[in-house]
Amino acid sequence: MIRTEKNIVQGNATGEKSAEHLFSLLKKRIEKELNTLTTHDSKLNQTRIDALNYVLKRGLPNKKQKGWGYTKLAWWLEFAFSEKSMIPSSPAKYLEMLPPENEFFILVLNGVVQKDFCKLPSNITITELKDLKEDVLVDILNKEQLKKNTFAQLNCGLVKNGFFLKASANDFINDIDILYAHSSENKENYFNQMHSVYMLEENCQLNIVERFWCATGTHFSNTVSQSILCRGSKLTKYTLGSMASSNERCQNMHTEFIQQKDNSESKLYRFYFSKGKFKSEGTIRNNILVDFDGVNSKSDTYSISMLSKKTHVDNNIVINHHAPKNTSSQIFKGIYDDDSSGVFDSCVVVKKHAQKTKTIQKNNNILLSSKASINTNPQLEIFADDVECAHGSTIGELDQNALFYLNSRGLSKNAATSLLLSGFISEVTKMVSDKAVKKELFADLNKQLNL
Amino acid sequence: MLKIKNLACTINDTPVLNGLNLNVKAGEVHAIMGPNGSGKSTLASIVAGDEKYTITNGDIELFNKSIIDLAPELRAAMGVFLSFQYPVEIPGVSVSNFIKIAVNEQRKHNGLDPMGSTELLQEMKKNLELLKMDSSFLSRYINDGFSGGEKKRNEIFQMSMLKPKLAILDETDSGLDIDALKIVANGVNSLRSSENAFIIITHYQRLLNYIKPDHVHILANGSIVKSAGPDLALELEAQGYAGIIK
Repeated sequence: MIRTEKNIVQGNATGEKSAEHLFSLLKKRIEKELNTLTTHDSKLNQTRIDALNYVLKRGLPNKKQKGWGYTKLAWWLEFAFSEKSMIPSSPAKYLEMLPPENEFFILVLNGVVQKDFCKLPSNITITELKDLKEDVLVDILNKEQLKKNTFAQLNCGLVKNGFFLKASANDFINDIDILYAHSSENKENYFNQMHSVYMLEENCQLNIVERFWCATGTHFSNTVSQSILCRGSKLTKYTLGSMASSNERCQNMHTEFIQQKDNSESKLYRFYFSKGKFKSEGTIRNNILVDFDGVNSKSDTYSISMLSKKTHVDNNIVINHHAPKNTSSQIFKGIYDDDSSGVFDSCVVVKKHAQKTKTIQKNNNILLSSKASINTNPQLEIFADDVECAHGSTIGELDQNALFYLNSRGLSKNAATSLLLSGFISEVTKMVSDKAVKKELFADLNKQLNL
Repeated sequence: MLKIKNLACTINDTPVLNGLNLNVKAGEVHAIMGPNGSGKSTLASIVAGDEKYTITNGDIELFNKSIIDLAPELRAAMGVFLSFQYPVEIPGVSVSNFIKIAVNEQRKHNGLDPMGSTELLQEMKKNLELLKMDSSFLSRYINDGFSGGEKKRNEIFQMSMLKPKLAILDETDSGLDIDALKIVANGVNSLRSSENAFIIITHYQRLLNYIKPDHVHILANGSIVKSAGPDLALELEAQGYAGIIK
């Protein structure tokens, strides 16, 4: 582990005592839920009970726990566990936030899919969790891969909101915009749990663009997304920003689980900025988990964190190569200014029989301020003997010689810095193929770069 | 054009230049030679505005105006260009994009409208041809994976696009083979006019066979110890520095 700064600045967190206090609040909430669940015996209720008991047994993560060394749960979470329902204002106005040129969209308001404000092609269906058959829902909430993750289990135990999106096999590529809006008339604090599932049937292609909008207030979001890629299917998912957008007291715990069968392809793009349309000002923790269950598949994850103020983004990644002949790549770029901080904690696991695995794991960082920090830990666990695996991390400052070189050609300090940083992140930006995303992304990037 | 008066400077409190004087007029080519560590590259960087150095005495005037307090980009806008001894690699930024920004930033400083992309591209292609470079060069990242010769050619290419009044070439000839040397010299010669001036820093007389200097100076221990006509370079080649610096 390379440590550049001894202390990660994390607001006014007051350590263990407040963590206990938080847990006692959560415990009350869970116990109330357990009382309701035990009144009626069903497979679904048993799944939820198991999930909640796991959370009670494990407690909330603390920094002594592996993978939680640099992200604290903040004291203001105590507002959050109330799970108040908020009364949103009219949904129609949120649609204006989506780019007008896109035909298909889904509006999710305070965790609830707004059926009257969705437009989908004929081969795609969306079902709310509450309308799913019990077996299907149990299958979703009972995923073995999510069982070692406290927040995913908390979500599985408590979640009421969410959707199941199914793309049936056909030759079309479907582009769908999803807007997640948190709205409230009276600036209330808000605890949001949501669970979304993307089921890609054989040979279908789905491009998803996720955008977020949050009203002011302190929000805590604990979200899970599962994508199941059947044989030959392709998923591209752009995540522009987060639900921790409105201020530094917001937190977003997100679990992204991707399961890939033979010949499938997943591409994830995740962008976190502290300024502009997609801004995130709070604390973000991503648990990204990719499982290769079939052969000849590919998974690429690209991310840029370009942070300032007190924004914190923690990326915890596990890529499991269970089967041979799969390729995975991770390219994570971080630029940290002011008191912002980041974590890259990633492990690629290559199982014994996963021969001919190819993987690249790369995390490059630039610190622009003496108070900013990054903790990076790229790991490989390889049990096969015929593999190509590369991994590496870099942490640096802006190259003064490069700045002088550009200055001497007539570029101002600002213009030179911007050009160097845009070059630094180009490895990710050049991989963005969606035109609408590209346009919005560059507009937002220019805001970070002061161009 | 350029007047350096009794210039002294330090880097990390170590003196590098000690009372250096140099006058360069428009239309002239000055060659500066000198042993390793004599302060040649320092002179080049300090005129371009490298803030690593602290000026302790003296002045640098360009067009009769002191420039020592000006940022490098403002000096560039006045027409100063430095061809770096070790050009910096900038991955992710293409040569054409960089040139477009540099040309237009300089034009902005001088109150001119930005140059259109088509016009710029034509100009770039013309200059590439002059330097016998392929147009695929434009889409490559600045100096990233370039050979030593390509890096130096890229410097001269940038110079041809920025059309400086005062160009300082810091060992542009080192690392070039004979053919490349001729091409680079040819590029420099085609930019020579009565309006602009060149300062050429070199270790070898060879480059001066192709770019005829008006004056040759020898720099030793941070100041110019001898100035003369082009013959001085030949004399140096025959005798080495020992015979001249006493």
